[in-house]
Amino acid sequence: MKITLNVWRQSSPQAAGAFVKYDVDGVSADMSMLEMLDVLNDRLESKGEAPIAFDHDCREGICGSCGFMINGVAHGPEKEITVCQTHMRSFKDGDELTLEPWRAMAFPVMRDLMVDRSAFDRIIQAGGYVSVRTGSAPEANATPVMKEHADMAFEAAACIGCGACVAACPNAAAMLFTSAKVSHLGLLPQGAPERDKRALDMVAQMDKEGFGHCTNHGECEAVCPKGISVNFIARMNRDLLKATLRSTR
Amino acid sequence: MTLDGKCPSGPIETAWDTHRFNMKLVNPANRRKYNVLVVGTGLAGAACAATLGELGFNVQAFCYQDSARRAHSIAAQGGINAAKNYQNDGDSVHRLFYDTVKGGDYRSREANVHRLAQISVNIIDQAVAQGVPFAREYGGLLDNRSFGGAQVARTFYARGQTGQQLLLGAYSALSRQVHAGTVKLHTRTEMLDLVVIDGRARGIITRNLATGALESWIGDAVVLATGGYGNVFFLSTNAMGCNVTATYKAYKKGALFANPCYTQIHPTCIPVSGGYQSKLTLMSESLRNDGRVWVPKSAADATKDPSTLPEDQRDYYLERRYPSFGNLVPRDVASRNAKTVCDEGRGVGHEVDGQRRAVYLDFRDAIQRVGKSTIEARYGNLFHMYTKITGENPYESPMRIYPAIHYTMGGLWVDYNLMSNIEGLFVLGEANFSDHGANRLGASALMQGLADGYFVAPPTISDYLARVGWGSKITAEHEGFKAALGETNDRIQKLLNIKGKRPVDSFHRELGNVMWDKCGMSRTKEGLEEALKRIPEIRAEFWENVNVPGENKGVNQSLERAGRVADFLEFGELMCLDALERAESCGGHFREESQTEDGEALRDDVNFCHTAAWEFKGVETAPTLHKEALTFEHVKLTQRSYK
Amino acid sequence: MSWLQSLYASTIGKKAVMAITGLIIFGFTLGHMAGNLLAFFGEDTFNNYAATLKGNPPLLWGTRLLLLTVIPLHFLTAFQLIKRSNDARPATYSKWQPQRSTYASRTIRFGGIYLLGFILYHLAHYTLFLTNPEFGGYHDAQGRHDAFRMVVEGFSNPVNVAVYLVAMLSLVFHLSHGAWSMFQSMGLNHPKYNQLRERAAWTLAIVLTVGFSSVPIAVLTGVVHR
Ligand SMILES: Cc1cc2nc3c(=O)[nH]c(=O)nc-3n(C[C@H](O)[C@H](O)[C@H](O)COP(=O)(O)OP(=O)(O)OC[C@H]3O[C@@H](n4cnc5c(N)ncnc54)[C@H](O)[C@@H]3O)c2cc1C
Ligand code: HEM
Ligand code: SF4
Ligand code: FES
Repeated sequence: MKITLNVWRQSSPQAAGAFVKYDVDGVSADMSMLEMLDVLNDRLESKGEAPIAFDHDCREGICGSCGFMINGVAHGPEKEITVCQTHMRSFKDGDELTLEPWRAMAFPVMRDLMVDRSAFDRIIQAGGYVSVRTGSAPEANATPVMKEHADMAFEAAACIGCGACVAACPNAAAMLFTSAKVSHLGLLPQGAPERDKRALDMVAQMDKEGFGHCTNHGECEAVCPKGISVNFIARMNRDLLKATLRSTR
Repeated sequence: MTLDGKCPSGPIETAWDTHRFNMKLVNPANRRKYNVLVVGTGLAGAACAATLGELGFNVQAFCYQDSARRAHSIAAQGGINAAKNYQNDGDSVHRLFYDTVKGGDYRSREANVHRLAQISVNIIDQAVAQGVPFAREYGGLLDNRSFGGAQVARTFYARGQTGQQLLLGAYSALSRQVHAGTVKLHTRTEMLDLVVIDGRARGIITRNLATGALESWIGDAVVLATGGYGNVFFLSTNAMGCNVTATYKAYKKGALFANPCYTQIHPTCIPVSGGYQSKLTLMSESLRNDGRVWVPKSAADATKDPSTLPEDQRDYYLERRYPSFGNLVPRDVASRNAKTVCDEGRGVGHEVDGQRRAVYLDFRDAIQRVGKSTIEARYGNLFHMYTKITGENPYESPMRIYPAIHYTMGGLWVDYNLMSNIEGLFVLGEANFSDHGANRLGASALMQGLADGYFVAPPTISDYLARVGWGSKITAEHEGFKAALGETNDRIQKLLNIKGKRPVDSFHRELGNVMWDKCGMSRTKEGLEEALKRIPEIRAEFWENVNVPGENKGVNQSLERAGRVADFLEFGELMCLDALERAESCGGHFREESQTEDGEALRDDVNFCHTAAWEFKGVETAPTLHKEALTFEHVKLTQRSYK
Repeated sequence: MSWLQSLYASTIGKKAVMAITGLIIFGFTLGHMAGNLLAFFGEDTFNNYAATLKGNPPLLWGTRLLLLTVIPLHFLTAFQLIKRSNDARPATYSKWQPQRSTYASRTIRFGGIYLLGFILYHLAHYTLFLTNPEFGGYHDAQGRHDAFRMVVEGFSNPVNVAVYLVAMLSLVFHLSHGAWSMFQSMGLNHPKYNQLRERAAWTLAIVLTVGFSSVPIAVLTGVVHR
């Protein structure tokens, strides 16, 4: 196959970026999107040109490193999948693909398709944990957990922190990401004692990072590679409002 | 040099408790005066950094990814073992200990493994308290499954994401300490050298992957939890960034590298589809519970549509050779046999570099027996993943699988305290060599990483710090730091100045092919000697002809990869040397010269019941071998048989 | 910061304000529409209804005061959120393909702005009589303010009717998204009832629009006349 790429190239956070066109021929349908970029990068490197920078690591859809827009859709056209798992058989010979980095104030572009998502880490640091010291844990089976809650907590916990939800949201909101963590821990008895504080602190940090608000468009859920549901957003809204009303602060 | 494992004497059941009691403690008020550098934020590193932070030590934690949560521990699917005996099926600490020593083919230290089995139960408690959503039964209690052919159901799991959930637990504990100010996190930061001063590990040199800045970090102790080196094979189930750099640099600074040739090969991975392949994806072994493995009897049928091949043209080779275990033989046996049939020219699937390297894993009979919906319920997500990657539908045509490098049991040599032969250098998780011997049982690496990080290293590091005290006057101006920084900078400049013709990856691929052919599933003296000749040639060409574009400013991913490949190009040689030296078949390593009459692995306990630890003597000079003898008092040495 | 202030400072708090104020306006418009439909029962019923309202100052001024706080609050909060959203994505995509959002959700801001303009015009038109000062002087046989005549005359002008109908169209879109979104914003969500919630939103939005639009159309087509 031959694929034409329009790739956002930006040499540093301060530099102005622009789209650059590349024709890649000899693309196999069995290649992953990132392998196709590897092939292009090898060609660029052999010529001494700077390869296209993009974050990636596991290449099996679990570490959350990878991600960019393919033709205006976060993680590309296939549902519940990351770019590293998107294969070229999703496209046809002669297709033209526009590759653009996640865009959000809170995710500054570092280079090409690579952005800085450390805002997510700071949201977790603000309260995305259960305060349990190593060694102070009670016997694991001492607290049974309703299976329905355990399963729902698992679904929320499946978030890989890729940032596609922010990228796809017209308001660049981080509600899906934040709500996934708030709900994961809030649904479990182990997370209950800090439930109010966690919601208040994490939402405050989320706002501080400069993410937008939620209009309930649902774009996030549609592109989330792990299928995290917007129901968790409602759950977080409820948690935050309840926490505001009943906490002493 | 004599290698002292420092295993406590006395009964093995109480050894760890006694040992802990004999350790020195650091006064709580003094803890913040100690600086500990933790490299790696996988299960081992994150758990250790968080726990040291909770104790009040001043911790600096490093990882090369953009977030601590992305360490490759995240990819573990299957589960984590623990001797909880919740299923009441006869499990116990002793049984887990016994199984792990046996599974490691008697090449691990009994004392370490026993401690691991003991601690396993605390890990589950800790993880559950952190909110790790393990699978549960309707009654709300934790569920278990039996994994990798174990006789008891002792594996805890979180669907197919056990590694991710455990890592998110450790990452949350780490995040809590970042918030508390006891841990400082340095992401997108790669360790490029270890600084040893007066025989003690005193710091590291790092490169900031966002800016290119080289920095010196001073510590009272250095912890390496940098994962495994499976990427020396280029294609593996490891993440793209997994590297040997941190441990290899420590080796070059005097730390011994133990059993580098011990690698684990996983039999059920999705095969290579072309020369562009960048990594391999693992599928859970559970597939072998229902799938039947076969290849055509005749090489001429390799390209035929498998569904058209009648029963008598198929060779169900595992069922034929191992009638009692059939398709459920251990990982190493299944892997080796797949290689054998492909070497005979009977492999199927895509032809890559003139060879078809895949065998069928067929669900046709299982679907007929239990129905499509049952198979879907059991393996739906795996089938889905397979379809995404290959574009084929395993309900209709058989899956194609092939073994891939999955885990590395070798690593820096450590004693019972997880300290290497360099004072103050602790090595945790997959980066050390300690607990799995020549072969790792499924679901035991997660257990080891967390045992090391949460429960073993914090007290042993405290003990070390209490003994050495604080207040040494070393600064980044010290000669040791200046020299290491200078060397690191020179090496980077050297890489950037070559500006040759070949991209970095092409060298990595070339090395990987040599390693896989000569030092992979089955090895021979001749093959290894050939590799030992070939690798220095590739290395020489690399240093003449690689093209690393750009400069050391800002993000330069070519430079990152070049540095890692340069280290693999030296390390590969060490691996082959170790493999050559170990002229026995053990664990996952089949040495063709050492086999039984019917072609099975033959261990040689008379000559090789030891850990081989290598000491660096120079890049072009052969390293020195040190042996730590292994003694078995609690588990009797037997030869494995699956006939 | 008091807890109320910090709640309002957060995006979730602001959305709760949007939802609660939206719900109140929604409730009011439903009542308002029901009242309007009385026009189909003729002059007497309609003027009587208008006079009853006028004759009950606590109800009238209570409602007016409520609306006078709630509408500006809804508008002000909307404005702040829109600004925040624009700041959150300073550089836009060269290409963006919506996956799940609807036309209604994507245009909720513009519909809102039109509605604001409309509300002002509507007040000027029928409440403050600024556009048509003569409306204030209409009285029926019983000496009540002749609201019926005012409505009929007002809607005899096709331009006027067009302005109203476009407003009603905006309202249907605004509410088709807003009415279920507000549950989500206040955390009222349950997988079992969510579909119901969406259907109800659409139904109510349509009822409201059909109800509101019916009067001007009826007047214009002569179904309702003096
Ligand atoms: C696909 C797959 C499936 C697996 N499934 C299972 C399973 O089901 N059960 C089981 O028990 N085990 C399993 N394993 C094995 C297990 O996951 C790993 O052995 C274990 O998680 C390793 O943890 P770690 O903390 O030692 O290293 P890692 O998680 O690999 O972490 C390494 C850390 O070191 C950092 N690092 C590395 N090099 C540098 C450097 N030079 N400078 C700075 N930082 C550096 C990285 O950023 C990272 O934070 C699986 C492994 C794979 C690959
Ligand atoms: C004054 C004119 C109006 C303006 C400027 C306006 C603006 C907006 C905006 C911008 C939103 C979306 C906020 C977001 O991005 O999430 C919104 C939501 C909403 N509006 Fe309005 N609107 C107006 C009038 C109305 C009216 C007349 C009603 C009711 C009949 C109404 C009911 C709602 C409801 C229920 C929501 C949903 C709140 C939520 O998502 O939680 N609005 N409005
Ligand atoms: S919620 Fe989904 S899209 Fe957002 S960060 Fe998590 S996995 Fe990615
Ligand atoms: S590279 Fe890990 S999710 Fe894509």
